[in-house]
Amino acid sequence: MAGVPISVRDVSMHYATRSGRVDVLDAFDLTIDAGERVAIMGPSGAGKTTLLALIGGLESIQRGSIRVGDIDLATLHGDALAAYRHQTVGFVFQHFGLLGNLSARENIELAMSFGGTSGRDRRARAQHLLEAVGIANRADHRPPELSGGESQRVALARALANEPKLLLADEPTGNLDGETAERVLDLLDRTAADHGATLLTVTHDPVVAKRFDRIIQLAPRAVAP
Amino acid sequence: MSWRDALLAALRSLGRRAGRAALTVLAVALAAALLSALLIVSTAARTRVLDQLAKGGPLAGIQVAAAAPGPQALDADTPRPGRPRDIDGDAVRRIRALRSVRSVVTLESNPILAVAPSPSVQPFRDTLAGLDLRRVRTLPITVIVGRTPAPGSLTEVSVTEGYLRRVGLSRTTAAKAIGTEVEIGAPRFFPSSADRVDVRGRWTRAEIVGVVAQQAIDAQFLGSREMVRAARAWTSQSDPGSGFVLPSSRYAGLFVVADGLDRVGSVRASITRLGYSTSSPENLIETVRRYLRVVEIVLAGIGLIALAIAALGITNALLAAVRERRREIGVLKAIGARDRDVRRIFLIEAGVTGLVGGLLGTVAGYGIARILGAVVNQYLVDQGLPGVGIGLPALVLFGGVLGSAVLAVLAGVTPAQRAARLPARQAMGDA
Repeated sequence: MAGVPISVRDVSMHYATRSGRVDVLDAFDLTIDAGERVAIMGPSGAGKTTLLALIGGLESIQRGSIRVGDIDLATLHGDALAAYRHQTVGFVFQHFGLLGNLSARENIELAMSFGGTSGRDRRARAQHLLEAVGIANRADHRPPELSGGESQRVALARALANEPKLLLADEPTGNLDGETAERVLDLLDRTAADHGATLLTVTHDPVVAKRFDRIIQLAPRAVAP
Repeated sequence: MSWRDALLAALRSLGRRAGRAALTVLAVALAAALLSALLIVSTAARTRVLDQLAKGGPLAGIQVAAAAPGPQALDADTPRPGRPRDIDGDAVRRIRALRSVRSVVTLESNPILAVAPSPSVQPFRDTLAGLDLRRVRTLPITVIVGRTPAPGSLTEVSVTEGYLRRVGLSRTTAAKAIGTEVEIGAPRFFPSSADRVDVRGRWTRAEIVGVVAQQAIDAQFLGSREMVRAARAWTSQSDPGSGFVLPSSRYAGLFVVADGLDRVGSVRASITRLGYSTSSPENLIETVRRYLRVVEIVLAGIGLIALAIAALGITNALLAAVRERRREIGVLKAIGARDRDVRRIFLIEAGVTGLVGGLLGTVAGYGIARILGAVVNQYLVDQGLPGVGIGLPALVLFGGVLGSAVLAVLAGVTPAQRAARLPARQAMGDA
């Protein structure tokens, strides 16, 4: 597995709110090399999470183009977009995004269930990933029974389940204390490097950002009347 | 995502919200129980009660009067009879030999004088009707309270509502008449002088054992055949010079039961050709059938309304689940779920809820119908009628279970569609 380059060209994005139109990205350009580790910083409302959502295929592009490897995201819809998220992207959320009714292992297996992986292969890979992130002993525990650090390790293992070329992390340490956050970041660094994946992380923390190859600073946008 | 994985995901999701899922299942179960119980009872009422009565019961019966047929004898349920015509043993034999005749019960009567126990009620003239009381079940006689006299009894009678009115009682207070005694006198008439007739009575003190509604014969007292014959033997010895003439017909009427409702018409025609007036409630039974059909439709409608309410409950519960699980649905999409995977999970949740609710409800409905059947049977047996068998028709069983599941899936379409259309961005929270 190898990372993919990302090319963001002339991307604009706005939301309509009750207070008016909010422009979060305006003719934004960005180029990221394959396997590069990039931190995105900026104040609230600058469009960090929106940029991540656009690159991850969670959000439709309103204007401009985004290419991830050979894929032009503007051309993807429906099942093709779902397949892109499943095969190319691995997400790590600030809130972990684990399903509370599933065990740690089942959460990881779930990510593989959308691609037709057999049950046996799913179990074996989930076990391997749990060992890789160091919580194999918590495989049968459900998220409410896990600490924040453990939950984020499971989330990271799930993000790696389908061997993604692109890892997107939205404030991955936002809900963790300093020591735990440090360990999770170490793990994120190491696993991204091991897998050769391109890593894009949104963070507010300059200390965290310094660990990455490059920092992209987004400026705040005004609310139009 | 395979169906199996979707099923597991749906079951896990239901298990996570076990309380809400249980309440939703309960709502479906109650509705399915109501619908299946109503259908089972109404089906039993139609197929068992009506059919049993129609096949050889009172509703397939034909009353034969000791009279010649009147005009338009076959065009009405209760035709006006023509001139009197004796029914004797030979007539009974000929009618019994007719095609499609299952049985013939002879009805006998005798004029009587009656003295009620209340001194305020004047002695009055009426008729004592008698028959073979072992066959009372095949006659259009309904016990309102108490019972019919024992077969062959010379000291027990049942009375009709006419008697109740005479002694100041009503149907609701009919039980007060039970156990009282009435004096019944068979009259014998003698000439006394030029313008007077003497009457000597053969008096019998009879206990009133029941109150009946009956259309078999015009009489306020119903006794055994033996009791009537003893009275008739006494009255028949009246002096011809008294001017009293006892009807010459040995039998006051007959009650003929046809092989089935569809044979009533042909048997009536045959008896008319033999020269006797007939009447039957064949139009009545058709009317009853239509009313039962209407009742079935109404009951099914009530059950369907209940199911519709339950379906709305499922829709509401699933819509609430969609609202609560926006982020979870977003996460599913972020890790690769397609719209149809999400839709499938929600539809399976709805279907499982409906299936389990339908199964529990149908079984409960059968239990309720059995309990109702036991109560109805007790009443029918008290009335001297055969009981009703309550079964679980396969159509009701499969219809109840599968119908509930299908309805639940339909109820889940809108929430499932809404969940499927949620943007994947929900994984990161509301924009």
